[in-house]
Amino acid sequence: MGKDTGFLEFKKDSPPLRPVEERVRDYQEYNTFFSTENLQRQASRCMDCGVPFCHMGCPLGNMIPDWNDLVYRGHWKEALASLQSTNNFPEFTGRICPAPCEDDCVLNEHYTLDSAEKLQKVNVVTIEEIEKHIAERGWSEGWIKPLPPEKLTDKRIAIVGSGPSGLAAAQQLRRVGHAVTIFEKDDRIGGLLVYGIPDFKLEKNIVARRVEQLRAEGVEFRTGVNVGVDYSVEEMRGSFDAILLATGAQHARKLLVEGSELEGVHYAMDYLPERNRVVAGDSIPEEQRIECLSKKSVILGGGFTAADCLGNLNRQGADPHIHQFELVDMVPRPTPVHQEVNPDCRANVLTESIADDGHGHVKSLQAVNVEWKVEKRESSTGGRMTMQRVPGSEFTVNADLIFLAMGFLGPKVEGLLEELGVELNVRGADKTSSPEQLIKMLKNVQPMFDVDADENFMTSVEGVFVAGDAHRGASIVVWAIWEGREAARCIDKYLMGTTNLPTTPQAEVLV
Amino acid sequence: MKFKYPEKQGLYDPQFEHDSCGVGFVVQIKNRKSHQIVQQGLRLLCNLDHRGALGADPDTGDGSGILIQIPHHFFVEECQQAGFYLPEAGEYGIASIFLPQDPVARRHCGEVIESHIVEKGMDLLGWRDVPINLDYVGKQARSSMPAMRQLFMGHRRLENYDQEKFERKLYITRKAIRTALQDVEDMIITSMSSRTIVYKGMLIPHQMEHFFPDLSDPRFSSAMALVHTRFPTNTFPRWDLVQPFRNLAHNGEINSLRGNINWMLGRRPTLASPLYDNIRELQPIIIPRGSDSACMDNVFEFLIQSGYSLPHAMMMMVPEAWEKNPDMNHEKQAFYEFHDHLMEPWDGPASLTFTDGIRIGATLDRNGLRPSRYVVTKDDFVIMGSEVGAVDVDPENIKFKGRLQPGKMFLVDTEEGRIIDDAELKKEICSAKPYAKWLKENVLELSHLPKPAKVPETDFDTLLLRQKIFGYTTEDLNLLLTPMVVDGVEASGSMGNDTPLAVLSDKPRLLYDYFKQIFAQVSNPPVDAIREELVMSLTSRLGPQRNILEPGPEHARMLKLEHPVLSNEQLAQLKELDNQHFFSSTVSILFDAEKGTEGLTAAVSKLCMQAENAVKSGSAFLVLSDRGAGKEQIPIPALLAVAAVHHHLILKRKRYKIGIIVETGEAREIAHFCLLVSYGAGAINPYLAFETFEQMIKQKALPAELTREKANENYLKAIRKGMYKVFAKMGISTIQSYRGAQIFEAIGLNEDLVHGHFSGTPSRINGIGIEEIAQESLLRHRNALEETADTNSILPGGGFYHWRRQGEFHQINPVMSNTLQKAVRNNSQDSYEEFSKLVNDQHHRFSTPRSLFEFAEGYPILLDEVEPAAEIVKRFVTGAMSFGSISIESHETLAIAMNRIGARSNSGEGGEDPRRFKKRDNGDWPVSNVKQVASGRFGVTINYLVNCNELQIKVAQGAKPGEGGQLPGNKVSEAIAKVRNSTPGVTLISPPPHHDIYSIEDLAQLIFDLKNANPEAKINVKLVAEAGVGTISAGVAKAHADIITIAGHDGGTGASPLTSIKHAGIPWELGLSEAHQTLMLNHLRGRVKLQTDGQLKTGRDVAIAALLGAEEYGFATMPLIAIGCIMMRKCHLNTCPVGIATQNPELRKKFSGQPEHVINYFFFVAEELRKIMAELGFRKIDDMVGRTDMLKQRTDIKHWKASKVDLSALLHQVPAGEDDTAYCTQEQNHGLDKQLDHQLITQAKAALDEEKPVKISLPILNVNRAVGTMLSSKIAKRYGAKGLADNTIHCKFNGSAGQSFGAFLAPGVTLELEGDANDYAGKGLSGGRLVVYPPANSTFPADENILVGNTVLYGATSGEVFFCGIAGERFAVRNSGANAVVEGVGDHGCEYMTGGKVIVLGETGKNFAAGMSGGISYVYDKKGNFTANCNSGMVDLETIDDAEEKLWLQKRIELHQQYTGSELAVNLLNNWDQVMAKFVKVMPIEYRAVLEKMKKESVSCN
Repeated sequence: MGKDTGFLEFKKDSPPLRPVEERVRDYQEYNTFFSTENLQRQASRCMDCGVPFCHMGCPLGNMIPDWNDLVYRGHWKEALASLQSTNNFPEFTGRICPAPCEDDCVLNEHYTLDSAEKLQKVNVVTIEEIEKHIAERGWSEGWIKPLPPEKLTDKRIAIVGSGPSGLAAAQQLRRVGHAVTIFEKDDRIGGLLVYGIPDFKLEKNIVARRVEQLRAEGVEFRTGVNVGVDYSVEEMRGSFDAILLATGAQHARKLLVEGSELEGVHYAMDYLPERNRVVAGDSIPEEQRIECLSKKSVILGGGFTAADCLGNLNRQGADPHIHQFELVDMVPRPTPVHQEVNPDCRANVLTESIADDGHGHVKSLQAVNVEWKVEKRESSTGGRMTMQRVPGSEFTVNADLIFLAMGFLGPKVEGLLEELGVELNVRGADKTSSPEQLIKMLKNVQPMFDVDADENFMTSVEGVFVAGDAHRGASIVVWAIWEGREAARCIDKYLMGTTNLPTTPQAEVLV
Repeated sequence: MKFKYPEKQGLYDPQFEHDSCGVGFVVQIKNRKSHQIVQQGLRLLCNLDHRGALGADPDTGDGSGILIQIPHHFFVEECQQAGFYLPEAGEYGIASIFLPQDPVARRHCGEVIESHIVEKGMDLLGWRDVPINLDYVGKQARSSMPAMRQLFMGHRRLENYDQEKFERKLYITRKAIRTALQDVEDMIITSMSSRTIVYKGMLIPHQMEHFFPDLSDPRFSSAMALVHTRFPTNTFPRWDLVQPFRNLAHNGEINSLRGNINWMLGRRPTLASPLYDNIRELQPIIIPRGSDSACMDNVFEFLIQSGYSLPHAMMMMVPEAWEKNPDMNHEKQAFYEFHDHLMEPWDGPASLTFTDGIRIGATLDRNGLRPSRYVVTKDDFVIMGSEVGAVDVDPENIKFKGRLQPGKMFLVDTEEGRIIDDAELKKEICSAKPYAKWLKENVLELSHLPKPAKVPETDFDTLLLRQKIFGYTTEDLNLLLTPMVVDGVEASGSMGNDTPLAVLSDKPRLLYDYFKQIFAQVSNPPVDAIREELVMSLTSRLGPQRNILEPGPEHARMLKLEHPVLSNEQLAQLKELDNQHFFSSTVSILFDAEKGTEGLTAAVSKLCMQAENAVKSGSAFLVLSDRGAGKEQIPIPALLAVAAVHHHLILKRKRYKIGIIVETGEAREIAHFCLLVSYGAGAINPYLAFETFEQMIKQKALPAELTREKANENYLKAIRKGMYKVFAKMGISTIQSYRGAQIFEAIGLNEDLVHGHFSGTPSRINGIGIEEIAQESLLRHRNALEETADTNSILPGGGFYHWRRQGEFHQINPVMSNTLQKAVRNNSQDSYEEFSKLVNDQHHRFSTPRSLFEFAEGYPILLDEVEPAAEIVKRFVTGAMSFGSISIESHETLAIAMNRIGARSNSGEGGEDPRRFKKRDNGDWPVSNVKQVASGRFGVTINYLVNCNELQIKVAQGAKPGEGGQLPGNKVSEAIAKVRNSTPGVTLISPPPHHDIYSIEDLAQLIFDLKNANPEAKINVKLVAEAGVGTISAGVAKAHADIITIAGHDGGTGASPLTSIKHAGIPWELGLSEAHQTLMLNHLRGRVKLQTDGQLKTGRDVAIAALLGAEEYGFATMPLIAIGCIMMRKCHLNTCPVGIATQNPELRKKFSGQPEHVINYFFFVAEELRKIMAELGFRKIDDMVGRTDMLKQRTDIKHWKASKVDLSALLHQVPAGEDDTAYCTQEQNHGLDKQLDHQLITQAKAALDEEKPVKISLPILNVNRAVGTMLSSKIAKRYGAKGLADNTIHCKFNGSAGQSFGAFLAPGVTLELEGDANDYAGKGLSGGRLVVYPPANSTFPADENILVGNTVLYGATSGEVFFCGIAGERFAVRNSGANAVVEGVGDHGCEYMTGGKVIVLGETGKNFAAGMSGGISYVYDKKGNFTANCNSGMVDLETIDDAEEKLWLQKRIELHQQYTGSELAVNLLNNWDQVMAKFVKVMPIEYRAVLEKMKKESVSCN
């Protein structure tokens, strides 16, 4: 399979991103596409490893060497079939997945000896690019079609939340004939795909066409329904044979310093949905908009959410001297938006306070550099990290706007979870907590938490399942899809006694 | 004491006992009887002593025997003394009988025997006790010695019959007595004839004449003496298996025995002959529990007693390779083809001598894998034996010296008083009946049949579903089938098999996966199916068989198939065929999905009934078809269907009437076809494979130019080649012999299943039954019917070869290898523990037998009391990996690491740069202290051999036992070529067999040669685990190996066919236990070290290996992972991205391994082992070897298949005998002190110490073996590769040199021999010179006589030889640099040659230059027939135009004349211009291209 010497003959190459000066002026995707020939050449670089680490590294267990080879040989349709056998939404993952597969690619992890080159993935097989091209070929050729079930069951399933996890579960469950209803509190289907990820990374028509496929397959969508508020939990339980919670992890980590309540301090998840609505053409009242033109901005956090803020700020004309601070010892991983604006990225920065301009608005941010130390411990699990301020390293930056992109603690507990009474896991705790206990706890501390479930994704409440970020904590889209698929299989088995839905166990479980 | 092997126990099974030996005869052509002949026979026997073996008791031989004509006068007088009178010669018979020692039993036997003789109408004349002298028999032999008596009987004159009839009556009587006394196992009639008598016993040859005083009695005279000395693998006293038998003696192996026995059983009902009143009395024709030779003798005597002439019967049982021989005349071809309808060949290496008391003869098998030399004297004696020179003959008296050639026969008729040569003999037999006419009128061929009316078409709609039902995966399509249909070759892979045994797998596996191929090692050689294809045949015959005793035209009425795979059209032709002789029945092999697991059992029973009915209806063919498999119907595993029907029909005595054809969607891989044929199928139609290709073409998954027809054709080609290879692994050449031969071992099937349907198949690990098999089928079926939108359009991904998450478990998976690398790179104990936990803790996943074990509770001791890790690691070795298969960086890293810790690394097959023999300035020593000697002998020079402390003979390799290897020219870099003594860019081929090991006595010889080459080195013989490896090990121990390695089937490889990686060999746990138990049973365990390897990973693995009997442990895959291997399985592609298994300089830069990584790993393993030892209470490893009582099988296993497995056979303990130890405590006695070389070394002191020239002159005998080798060893140690100046030591010998004359001869030594030499002369020649010519006073023409034996110059690397006479088969095989002049050669000359120049001044045998990739041969083609004898696969034949070259040739021949005094050379030189024109230059195509390129480059440099 593959071309034996492809990796020796051809260098890694990806389609160029749209020119910076052009792409920052709009909200269209910055990605472009390769010619078939170029892409096949790239696919030929895959070595079809005896032990494909990429396949291990992919949460979904995509059969990467298989479809790389199929692409190399020009069998796009078969490549799509292989890809879709493990991944419901390759057009999403092909765009927004951080591609852990590529980190693990042998050409990166083992073949590349220079650590800088390794970090830049100089030799890697461009797996994600290939995935995206396969998916798009599938759409453009009309190969991706609704596949409504041939036989229907009499089972009804409610899925709460329409993010990638809920959608994946819905598709799986529908395809084996169940009646599936997705409840979405927002006005559009897609969850973070539509209200988190900016258009320049994932245009929303990409989501819409997939939603259309699901709809055509018979999945029922009910938007604008906030279960637990607009629709009683009791009624839902009475109307459905099983419930899947795919609500995501929306409880953001708070900045607990002086001044964090000032005007101009925004949670990323307040800012990003607003931007996506504007791009989508929704009319947003003036007073609800976050105006950024020529504003001095600071982003706290080094993850993808932070980068999404950065890209939006730049497109909105914010002062280009943007600061991005990360607390842990890891410089934010460069993304395409970093090439667009070149922010002041720093790691090991602890925010100490935010200063008022005298009008209840942000003026500046005071911070200090920290050092991380590993505490020595006897146990084999290694030491715990502790943080120490570096004396004399205090500094201040002026700011009009501060965006908090410091991660998420867990799902929203108030409302649905509270009413259902599902038990929750709190990081570091020995036993699970009730929603009430957790809400009380959150007033004092900020632990991470998630909905507790058994190995079959069933929560402490019979017939109620959980998948995605709500279950495993905030994570990347591939995990969300994997969770949705696996939970769907468990629900099917729960309802029918047996299941034909596929499973992709994690590598760690396999050995 | 009974005549039998120990009971089947543990893993030991007497059915695997082997033997091979020395055979020979002396005959006076004119039938002049004398006592001298008997004496000469005994001398012959004694001089073949080294071909026999000794057991643990040095005075107990494995058996010697002599068959002579009845010495009438001797017995007349002897009987008179005993009180009775004998009639005239020929009018009485003598039964030579072994009787029980127990007087009661003996009396009972005597009475039964007497009553039978009387009942058959013979006169009872009297008994005679055979005088014996108990001082001349070993302790063990004596303990089981029978009483030996002779019974005399006369035929009644009044009845009017001749001696022929009398002989038949004696035969019938003997069979009847055998049947009547079948329960008395220690009663054996060793001969019963009016013409011949046999004396034999568990004796060493030189004990014979003392033990049997009769033999030294001057009155004891005969005109012929046929002798045999035995070298069996066992030392269990089996007086009954000592040869000669009644009519023959055999040196060799019958590989196809199981099939031969079954077919013989199958044709029982057909047998009829007017010569017998009641032919049933003769049953069983084959006496159970006999050796292969004994079974063969049974059938042979049956045929000759039933009217076949001696040679005719032999030609039928052991035919020549006639199928592909264009030179054979049509009459003879027709004879063989016709007889192929009567009986399948008894296939295997065989040198057979046979006699009826009047005629005595010998024949060789089609491959000529045993030596047979003969001398005819002027006074009408013929001496024939495995070796020349065993009986002294005055050179002046020699009329002719010859050798038996492959497939040829030699007969002396003492009545006619002449030698009848092969041509005359066979012509007469072949023209006796109009065989060609019979064939022409009766044979049915597919090509003659009309086109079928209806051929099934591909049903694309249901194809995917059916593929899933039959278990197809994308891997099957991509990895296995694509190379077959695109290139017509079997797919290759690399690294070992790390997936679970089928019975331990979570996945439903095909029934084929439960069977592992058995292969030839040591006691018989594999065949090279590619280079020696002329002996192979896939032609088979199908249909009703008839009475073999009365052959007639109707016997040819069978279907002839060129190969066993039928296209859809061909099957349709057969199904539509309907005439009085041929019509077929089709039976469905499906069962209802609804009926669940019970459905299968019922379906199989029904199937057997239907098959029986088909026979009753008169069908000639039975088609078992699984067409129709789908949603409702599940296929019965085709192998189960075939085997069940085959054995059912044998049992019902109906098998001979019908041919079985399988129409199946299941078979696709080569292993599947082999299994189906091996269990009785005559032909297979793999319709789903064909449909799959069509689909792949439709989907453009195959190259655009590939048509459906071409794809099918390529597939057939790949299957054909692959099947050849699998047969060849076992040394079987023809499908007729392979069919039904059951050359497989079952692993994990229960007794009911094996005995019920696969009867006779070795199976030692009990496991699943028919219910679980049904469950697997049902599971596959259910998975296939799973319909979800995202998976129903594609096949499952597989994961059987490459790791996949949805696929089969792999022991070496990403998590495991990551963890290990972390551990060794950071020297992190924590990470190692994590790793070993991953490997050891197989609670839900089982893969190997050891995963089912746990340790018993011991008496823990303190860790400090356990021997230190630094001592333990010395028992570790790294696996044989050649420089070539891995990069020099990796190779040296491993060597340095192992030398640092006092352990050993292994060079692998591929030489070693002498630069590495010295320590580096920093103290690191990159030498491989184990040097491997494999079949290619690449770089095996005397200098290579002396620079190590262990020499390993690789008999087989775990990943591809029974196969050779090939390093393609593009991988032979300058560096590799240098160490392998070859030319860069020229392909290097390792043949499947060692051409100097065709038998156990040959191995003993090689061990002896190597021990001479390096007396300080331990000799290690590497075997691969398979059923019967225990008995082989016993033989190897007796051949004086110091270490025996038992490799598991899962060992790695740089390149191997996937069929071999997955389907050949068994886990080391089984092989090791079997070897240990068998060695214990033989009291041989203390004489050898046992080593094991095969995916050993952790301290726990080592502990289990020790408890099962190993004291040294080999690791290969794990050390590679430690230095960076990530199981890419790309070794065969040279694209290893971590710089290990590659020669690409760019990729080699990626190598990041360090010796420390390897050292860290081994210390981790040793420390883990120490903890286990402390837990179990062992202070030293020696104490734990073989302590299976400290292991037990886990009882907590719930797995649906694994829970059925029973490993108790592995844990069987053989009690140690007196003075026995369970680990090695004794040194082998290699017998080097008797070597002639000690004299040479003493006399050459001046040369050795001061490089002064010396001349030595000595007589030589055939017992002087490996002469010159120890001398060369001294030279190499002192002077390295360059040795001494030319001719510094000149030795002149007179006589017949023993085997391996001048082996590994160093530069500066000349061995001049006036006389002749045996096999392997000049083996591994390393720069010395050999000159051999006939004695001055001989009168025979030198150039027509055989002068040196077989396999001369094997693996020679430099030096030169001049032979004034003809050489045997395989002259200069794998020569890579020596120059030779010889006056004629046998078959397969210059095979696999890669360098050097060979001048042949006379005729060559067949298949000259097969696989020859380098070097040049010049053949004087006097008769113009050379082209036909040359295998032009890799060479061009040219004329010599270059003047310089002509001159060189002339000079060489002049030199030949000077050295040897050759008359032929004189004649040639006298007519040089004419002679020159007839020289043919044999030029390897690749070699020429490389030479031209080199020439061009050197010109451009200048």
